[in-house]
Amino acid sequence: MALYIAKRVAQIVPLLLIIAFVVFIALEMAPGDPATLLLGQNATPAEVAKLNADLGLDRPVVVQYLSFVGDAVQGDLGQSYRSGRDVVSELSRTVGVSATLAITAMLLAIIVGVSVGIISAVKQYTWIDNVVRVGVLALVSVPVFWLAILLIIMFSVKLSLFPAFGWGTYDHLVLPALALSTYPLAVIARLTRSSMLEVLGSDYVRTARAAGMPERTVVLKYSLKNALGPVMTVIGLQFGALIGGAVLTETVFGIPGLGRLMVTAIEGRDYPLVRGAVLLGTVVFVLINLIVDVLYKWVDPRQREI
Amino acid sequence: MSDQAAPTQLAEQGRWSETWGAFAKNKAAVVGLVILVVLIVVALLAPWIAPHDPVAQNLDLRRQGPSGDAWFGRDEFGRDILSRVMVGARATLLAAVGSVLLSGIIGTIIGVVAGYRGGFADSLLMRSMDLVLSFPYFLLAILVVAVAGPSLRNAAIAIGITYIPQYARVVRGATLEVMGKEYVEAAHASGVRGPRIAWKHVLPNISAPIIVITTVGLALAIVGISSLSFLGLGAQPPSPEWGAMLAGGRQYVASAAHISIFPGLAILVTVLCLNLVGDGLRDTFDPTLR
Repeated sequence: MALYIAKRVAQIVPLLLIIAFVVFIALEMAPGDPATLLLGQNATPAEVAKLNADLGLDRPVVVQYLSFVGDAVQGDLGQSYRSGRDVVSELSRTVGVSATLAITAMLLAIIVGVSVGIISAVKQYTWIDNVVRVGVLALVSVPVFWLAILLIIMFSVKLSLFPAFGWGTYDHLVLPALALSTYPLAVIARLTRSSMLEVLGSDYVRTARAAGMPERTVVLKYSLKNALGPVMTVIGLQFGALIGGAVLTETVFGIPGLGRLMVTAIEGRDYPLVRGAVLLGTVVFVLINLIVDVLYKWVDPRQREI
Repeated sequence: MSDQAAPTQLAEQGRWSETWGAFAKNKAAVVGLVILVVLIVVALLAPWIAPHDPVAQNLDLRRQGPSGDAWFGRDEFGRDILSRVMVGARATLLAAVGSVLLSGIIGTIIGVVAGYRGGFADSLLMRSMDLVLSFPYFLLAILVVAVAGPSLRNAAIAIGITYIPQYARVVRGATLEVMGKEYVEAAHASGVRGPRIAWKHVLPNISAPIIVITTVGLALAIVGISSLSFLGLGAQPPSPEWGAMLAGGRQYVASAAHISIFPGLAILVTVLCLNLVGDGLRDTFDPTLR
């Protein structure tokens, strides 16, 4: 197991270097010269040239990339063009907010999604199953930013139950987490259902039932454990959708998180900040999937051999 | 070759009518398909059948609720929302189709080449697809738009890029499956060259999975593109694109909720229908899933 983890971590290092390279090169190609962006349109060519030299932007791209990686490893992602503050400190100001939102939404999605999936599978072809299947399809199809607006209209404007805007209290977390959880919830419910149906039809479940085991034990102890493997993998992948969804949810609810920061940074052509935010989001996504893979192997002994 | 053409054509027709028969049994999918066809017709005819000019402002009527004159109400500039949703269907659907064409063509080429050639080409192509997949897809799209600049076209390209690996993976898998079949081996043995085998024998036989992921891809593209437009990174005002319309109405949710409700409803209905059709097609082509 330790060897597997070591191997996976070793594989991730080159991946992260390539990801950093792609992001770095992409933003190199972006229109607009950083020095002109910083100094404004009225700067003289001499001033622009001097700032470019000071920032090290007159060096070859590969040298710039290597120095960027060297700094990044030491926790330095450069300075924001707009605020002049460290990108790392700008990111750390917002990352906690986004993490709280994302983790709450994912927990909600897992708890409700898995439960709904189990119930739907156990009650296959009943009205409950039909409602779940239609509901899942609707939730997969609804755009998160529109759902967020509907929740505001319903629970903030009409019922005045939760705040529509801002951050800081538990009340502020309810609607955004609800909106953000829907897509992963639907995907998890759908997969849990199909995975459970497969397991419930297998020989050992039939044997357990024939041996007179109570249905509850059959479903929760014998079936669920084996059905959860594929579900775990999809939970890791859903974090990717969650990171994207967070950008939209934070925008609708005016939440000062990483997603909001990124959109503002793009609007202001603050490339170091965009680069830092995209890198952070991607690194988190890659690491979460590593953790999920390791957990999957740990939970399911069959996977350890591979 | 020509004497073989007639029976092949007949077999082809038989196969498609059989497929349609299986698809037609799924009522939800048929309903989805019918609504989609109506939406497409509306989108095509929008400039002629829209009740009002979609960009004509009338500040006296701004934020007016739904009425006999304007069924979906009027927006923050007094423009007719129904007309904008109809004309917006054009923009949204066209962008989504363009986006899926981009990912479909590139992804299919990558998938066929990887599956057909195998070896180093396969590893190189599929590892680069893994690299694209290691980005959260929406962040990658945002990155592309940040570089290329915000516009509906760039948003469509950005979303298209993120979907290339899905095509490549599915097509590669399907290609590998077909490669083992006798007719491909026979073509090989009779000296037919690689690209011709790929075009004449491999592609027609992997069309089923391609059709399925294209339907789902269209649904994802509509959501993705309208999401970027909502953030101000896609269609720019006053263009009547659904996501951009929603962004405009967002600040009036308390006083004029209808501005946000109808464009979103249009997205939901279109995407839901595409997903229904996609599920129906998947069940039709892969009977083991039924």
